[in-house]
Amino acid sequence: MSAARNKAIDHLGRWLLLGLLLIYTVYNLGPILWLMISSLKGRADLFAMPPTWIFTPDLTGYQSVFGVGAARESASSFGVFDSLVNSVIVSSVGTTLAVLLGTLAGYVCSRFDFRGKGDFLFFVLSTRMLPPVAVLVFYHIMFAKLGLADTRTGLVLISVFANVGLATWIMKGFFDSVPREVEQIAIVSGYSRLYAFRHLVLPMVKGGIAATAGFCFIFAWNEFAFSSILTTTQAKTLPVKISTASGATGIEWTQICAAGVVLIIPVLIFFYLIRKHLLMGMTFGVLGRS
Amino acid sequence: MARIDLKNLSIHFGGFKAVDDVSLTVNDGEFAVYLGPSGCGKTTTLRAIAGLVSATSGDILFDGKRVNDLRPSERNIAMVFQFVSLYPHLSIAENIIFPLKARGVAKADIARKLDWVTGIFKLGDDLRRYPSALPPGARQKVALARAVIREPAALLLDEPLSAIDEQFREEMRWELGHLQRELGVTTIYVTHDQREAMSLADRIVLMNHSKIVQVAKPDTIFFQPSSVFAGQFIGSPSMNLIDLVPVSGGFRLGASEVVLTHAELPEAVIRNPRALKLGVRPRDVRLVSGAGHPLPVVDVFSVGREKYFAFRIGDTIHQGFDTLTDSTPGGVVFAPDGLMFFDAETGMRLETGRIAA
Ligand SMILES: Nc1ncnc2c1ncn2[C@@H]1O[C@H](COP(=O)(O)OP(=O)(O)O)[C@@H](O)[C@H]1O
Ligand SMILES: [Mg+2]
Repeated sequence: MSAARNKAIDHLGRWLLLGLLLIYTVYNLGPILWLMISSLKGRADLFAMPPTWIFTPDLTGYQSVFGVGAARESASSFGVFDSLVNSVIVSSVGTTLAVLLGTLAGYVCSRFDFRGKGDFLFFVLSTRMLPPVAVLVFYHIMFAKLGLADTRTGLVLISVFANVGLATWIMKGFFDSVPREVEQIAIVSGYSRLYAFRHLVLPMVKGGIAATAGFCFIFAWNEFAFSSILTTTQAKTLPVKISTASGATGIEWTQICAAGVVLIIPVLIFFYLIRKHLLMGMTFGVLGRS
Repeated sequence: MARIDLKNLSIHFGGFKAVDDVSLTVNDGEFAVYLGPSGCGKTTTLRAIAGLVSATSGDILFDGKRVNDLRPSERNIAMVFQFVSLYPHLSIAENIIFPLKARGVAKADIARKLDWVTGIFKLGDDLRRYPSALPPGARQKVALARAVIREPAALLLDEPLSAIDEQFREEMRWELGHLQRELGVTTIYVTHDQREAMSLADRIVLMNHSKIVQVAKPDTIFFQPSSVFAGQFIGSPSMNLIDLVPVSGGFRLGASEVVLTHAELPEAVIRNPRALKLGVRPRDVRLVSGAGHPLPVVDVFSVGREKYFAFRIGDTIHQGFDTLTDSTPGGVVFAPDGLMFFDAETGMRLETGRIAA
């Protein structure tokens, strides 16, 4: 009897779990799906009530985001393409620099002792703890004086400042997992440390570099607070642009939705590419030495 | 090949003395084994010789020449570590010739030397493969080949066998000893395994707490340990240690009633009665029916062919080697030649002149 009952409870539990997962999935993916559908609707379909499920796809939103076709020149376009270019440049240059510096600093912190190393590591991390809003005004003034206001260079600098600490820490962790013997064998064999670093250690932390780059890129790509204050016309990034979007003919929802989709895609691609390394990064302690 | 001298070598990390005033000479062609518990400074000493850490004070000499300021690459030594023996992205052959590539040895020479070590280590079939395709034991063999190929002045081996399976380890140990004798290369081998040390060493350098405790041939260290520590660290099962309390006419064994009379003790012990410690290896303690000391036997057990027994003095359990064939109760007999006496305070052994060797 109790076996049958247990089975029933088992069944119930399973359905309950399934239901909860479904709700969770809809909660998470629903808005994204909504966004994607909306990005393909023309103005008329977009505001139809009840919502239309069958409609002719309208690609003008995407055309204007990527600056192709007639949409770019049309009066309703509000220059999303330029901010996409800004975002791509700022995020990729910023990420490259942060990863480069973070890799070098992470290696030094992993392998060498120097006075004040603990303080240095804390300081470097504390740059990430800073709530941007707290210092925005001063950055604004500083950047204005330095001629960096509303420039991509300024945003790249911000992105490097914000990410180099994180990059240093993550890379230090990856270097810590590479046994020192890797270099020591090479050094005893007659190679320089630089050679060992470049040709032996770096290839072993390739995954770590990818993961770090992924993190930095996503932070840079999503950065909003600084960009919204420090840019006015020239250097607006995509997130800022979307939030302030209005064209000559009012708020261009189709363009906003298309831009929103474009904003999500790089993040998806990055996480897809680095998922293996992320997992590895998270299980580091367990791997031990081999 | 070289003679290596350490003169008052000290290595400090911050306030911590990892190596404390160590002096030692390793002769040309000698196989010296650094032995000691984990954390006693063996690896640090080896690294200092290689030039991977610098001496805080003291000198390191190769063939009488001070090398403290030479870079690792200028010292012409080869090192093998416990872990991470090989570079995974290089083939076995590339791993082996790695040190030759560094110094730009001519192609023909490289090929000739590769042939030579491949022959010694019987690695011919594996040259094209990658490290991940080999079991750990074979990988360590490749690491040894890489160390030997450059014909170093000295071979520094840091627990090279401890990450290998038991069975393969025995085989490798034998091969390593054989090879070292054949090549005649000065070798310093670090281990915490006393069996490994006993079977490989020309001389054992016993370390504890950052200091050298005793430097001696394996037999000497076994039969004439300088201290309680040396006596207990070497030998398995480990040496029994029993308190000796001076009483009239002899010494009482710890908390027991048994007294070792003057007749049973060497002159050096009787001359100056004080608290001592008796060290006696299980092999030198027997159970004999109808004779010996009435100490309570608490257990008799066998390990394969060997039969051991455990006896109690106070709260301490000691071990003996059982020679009784039947189950008649017997007394505990200590072989007079196997008795070692240590000062209870300093732990140093008293010279009694009665030690079997
Ligand atoms: N680079 C270092 N910095 C600080 N302490 C160290 C360093 N290297 C070794 N030690 C310490 O020195 C002591 C001796 O280490 P080691 O020579 O590796 O011991 P062993 O090889 O005998 O096990 C250990 O307590 C270790 O923690
Ligand atoms: Mg060690």
